[in-house]
Amino acid sequence: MPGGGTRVFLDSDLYEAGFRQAQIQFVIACVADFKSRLTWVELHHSQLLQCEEDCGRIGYVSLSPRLATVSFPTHADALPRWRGSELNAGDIFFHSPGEGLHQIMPGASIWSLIMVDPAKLDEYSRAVFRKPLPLPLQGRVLRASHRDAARLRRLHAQACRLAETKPRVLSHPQVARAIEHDLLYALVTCLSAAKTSTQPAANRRRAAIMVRFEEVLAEHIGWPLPMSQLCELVGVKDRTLRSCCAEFIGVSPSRYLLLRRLKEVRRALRNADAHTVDVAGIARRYGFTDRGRFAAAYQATFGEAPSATLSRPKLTS
Amino acid sequence: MLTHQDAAAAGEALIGREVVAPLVTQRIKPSPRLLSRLLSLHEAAAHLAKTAPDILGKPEVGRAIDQALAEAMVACLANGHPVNEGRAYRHHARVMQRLEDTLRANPEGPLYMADLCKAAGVSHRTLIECCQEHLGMSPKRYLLLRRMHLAWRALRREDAGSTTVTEIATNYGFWELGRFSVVYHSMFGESPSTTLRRSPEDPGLGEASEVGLKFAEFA
Repeated sequence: MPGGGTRVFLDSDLYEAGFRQAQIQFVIACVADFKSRLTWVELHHSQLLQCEEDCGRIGYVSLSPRLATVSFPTHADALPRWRGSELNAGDIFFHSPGEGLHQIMPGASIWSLIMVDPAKLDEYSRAVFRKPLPLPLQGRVLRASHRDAARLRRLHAQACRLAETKPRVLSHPQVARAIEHDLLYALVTCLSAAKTSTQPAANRRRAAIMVRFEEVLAEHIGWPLPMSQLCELVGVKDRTLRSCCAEFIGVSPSRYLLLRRLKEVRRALRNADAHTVDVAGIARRYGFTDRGRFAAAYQATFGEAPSATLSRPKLTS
Repeated sequence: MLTHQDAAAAGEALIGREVVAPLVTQRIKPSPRLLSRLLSLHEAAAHLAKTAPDILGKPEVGRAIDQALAEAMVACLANGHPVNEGRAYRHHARVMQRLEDTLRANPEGPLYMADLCKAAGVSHRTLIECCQEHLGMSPKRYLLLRRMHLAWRALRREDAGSTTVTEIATNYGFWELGRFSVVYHSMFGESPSTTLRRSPEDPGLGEASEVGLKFAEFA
């Protein structure tokens, strides 16, 4: 069913949950509350997302293996760094299915996602351009002509504005069809006409190391892994992991692991009932045994004491 | 116009071979002498039809004119050289034929570029060339005008009490209602709400119907 809508989030957990088809894991690097707005457009065979964030952060996006995904920064105060390289204005990412992508947003930003049923995308390309459009095995950065890229951005922005102002119009099947046709035309033009810059092999290897690093973190989020063990699990040398992290996420591996664990504690505190659990118990669950050091690290990262988080009104999703 | 059989029969009798109707319309350049004979006969018949239709009604006169016209036509077709329009032109004509079939099969619904490409089995590039050649505009522009025309027809047909301009516009895929109204006004000389309020019997503005008819022909 076509449709659309927009929602403002004051909590990053709910924002993350709003992505649905793409999974996103943010590690918020700024101290203040993370305010964001997610606008979504659901068409017959595609979905659009527009993500507005009011402060900088580091994040890891896991894209759906079943969808063809294109993403691009729409507006940024400072140039974002995705998958280890700084983006230029007008760059469009054409992702491989299920790709994992590290993003560094240095400041407030708006970025966009287009997710299409790959069979429909291929069918459209065959009908209109007489050539197949296979999904790339490796994510690619497209440098489309200024005109093509601008048209794609404009259509995306128009559809999202409609979702914000008149979501009911968007749920009309013929309106969704009209928008989808224009959008697919602009998208396939970009994808087939753009110059692609394939990543150098070294960069691809490093991207694969970072994906493995995320897998290890997901499995071992409950306790602090010493660097030696982390490297062993990822299967690389200490120096390699450090330089990869500096390039892709801008912080050291152990700092990133600490931030991820703190975020898990925060999520647990936000969902826990203040009458039945205490801060120390939750902190211990994520391997924080020294209460004093934990409280200091928590305060420095989120700008409030863990007990303040626990006593906040509970989230309803 | 002659039926195929008549043309074939006249051809065999007059020049000793059949005149076969081409699958694709051809342009033929006959010698000036033959052409002027055909034209003057055609003109004479038309003149007669206008001034003295009774005479044409007489079987023997009709047959005589028929005979003379068929002779002149077959002579033109047999001795004239087909103007070589080129393979591209014939290919484009076939594409346009398939497009016409598709449009005829979908008299009501909005269509888009991909629908036309799929139906005609050509890329958007070829489609653009064909439409420029035969319609004098891009397919995108044509499809937009066609949707406008469909909306115009619906606005005329529907009653202001039972539907709204927004509903009809969105039925044809127009979602920026401000822009829709501007384009509509420039095409039909009135606002969509005026068309909707008027009863279907009221023909409204002459130029509006004319634009409508122009697109009805092709759609």
